[in-house]
Amino acid sequence: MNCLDCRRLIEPWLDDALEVSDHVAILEHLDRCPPCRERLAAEERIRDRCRRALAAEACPERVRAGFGLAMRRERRRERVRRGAPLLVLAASLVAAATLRDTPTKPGSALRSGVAPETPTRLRFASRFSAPGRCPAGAHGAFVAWASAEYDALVRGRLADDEALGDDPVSRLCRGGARLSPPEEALADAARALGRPSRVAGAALRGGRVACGDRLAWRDRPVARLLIDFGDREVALYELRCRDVELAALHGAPSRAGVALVACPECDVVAVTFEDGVALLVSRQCRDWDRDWLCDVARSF
Amino acid sequence: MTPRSRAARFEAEAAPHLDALYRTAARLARSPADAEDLVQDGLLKAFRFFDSWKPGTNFKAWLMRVLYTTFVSGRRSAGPPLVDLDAVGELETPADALVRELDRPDYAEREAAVLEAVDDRIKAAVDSLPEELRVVFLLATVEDLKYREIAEVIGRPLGTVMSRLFRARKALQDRLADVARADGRGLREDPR
Repeated sequence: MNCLDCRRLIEPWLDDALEVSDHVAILEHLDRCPPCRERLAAEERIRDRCRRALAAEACPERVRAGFGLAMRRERRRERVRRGAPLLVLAASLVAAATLRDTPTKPGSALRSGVAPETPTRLRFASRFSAPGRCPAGAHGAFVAWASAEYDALVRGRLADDEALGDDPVSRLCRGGARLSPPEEALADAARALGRPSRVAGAALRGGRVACGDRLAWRDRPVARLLIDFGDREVALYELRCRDVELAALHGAPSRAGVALVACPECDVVAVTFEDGVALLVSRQCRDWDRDWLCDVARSF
Repeated sequence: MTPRSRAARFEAEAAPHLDALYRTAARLARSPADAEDLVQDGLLKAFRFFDSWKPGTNFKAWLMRVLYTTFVSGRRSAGPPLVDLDAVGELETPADALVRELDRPDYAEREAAVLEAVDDRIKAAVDSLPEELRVVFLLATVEDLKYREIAEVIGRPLGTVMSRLFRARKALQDRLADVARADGRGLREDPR
């Protein structure tokens, strides 16, 4: 290698873009050529000076903060898409059920958990807990679990579907009813509740069903309803849904509310709308009464 | 390990490169407000297309590609198109230029001009480079991207990257030397 070759290759050499053979040849040439060594050193000094001048510019704090904020918002949106509303809803139902048991006790766990004692909820609670439909312990156990899970979601501890482990309904059906006696389960629910009970119900009014579709989640069929509120989208998932008429719900307003009802055999999601009542019902449920459920839904 | 959400993964990947994105945007957009907009638009677009990034490849290079694409598409909609230097055959091949470069007697002078220039002067000289040269220079010199990665950022062959980089470096030195000469500083001797 002569000096001209060496100088021609100095730049790509400094950029670490040369083949090994050229790399070795340059090293050998530099070893015996002081002028080329000086040229190399000068080139390095120039680069270093330019890098220092240009790299000193830092990203302004407001851009950094704006990015962090946008990402937090996206994470929240992702959690909502994964079905947090269902859990919020479940939590609210037990809030209502607990209110039925302790409606007038001032300073109870639920009252301090900011669940408003509206007449609507009390009426709903009494229908929800109609004797003979589902054992009260099942409701309590389910919602205690769902509340804890929701709490984990809102705190960001469960950041992905995978982290949920098993789907909530299966867990409920496997062991919910046997988990605790009714009183204990309800007490657990009351302790676990708090923010979730505050945001349920009204949160699902004012939207429009944008899409109802079926998904496979871990080889299980899942029904999904996307309710569009203009500035946000809420997804409701019915994890054990087998055979529901989702298409009929497209474009329907979601002004009345949504209820989730749990029983040891299955779960039922009832979606009620201003102009009527639509129901998403798991076919596996052996213990539901359509008229009773419609009545429940209207009571929102 | 608990898998993280898409937003959390994107944030973790992108956060270390915010300074790099901004300083590149600052030299491309030429005004701090435009640079901030460019970074925000670029990040938004990168998040939207995050799934197209292949884990294991250089995320910074991918981000720069999105940033540059955002810049180019914004510029296209905002003003007249720039002249494509390669297409008009305006420039020489690196080898030809090099032969002349090696014959020039003012290398030491140009080196001194760069080493003695203050930061703002160097930034101004970089800003005065044609955009096609500027972006290649910044990605190679400041951001340490490889030629192959720069080629992907600008969507040009490897040879074009090398040629532009060579021209950018020499043009920058010339401009700084010109300014130093005009100042009456940084000159040891008039080469003529």
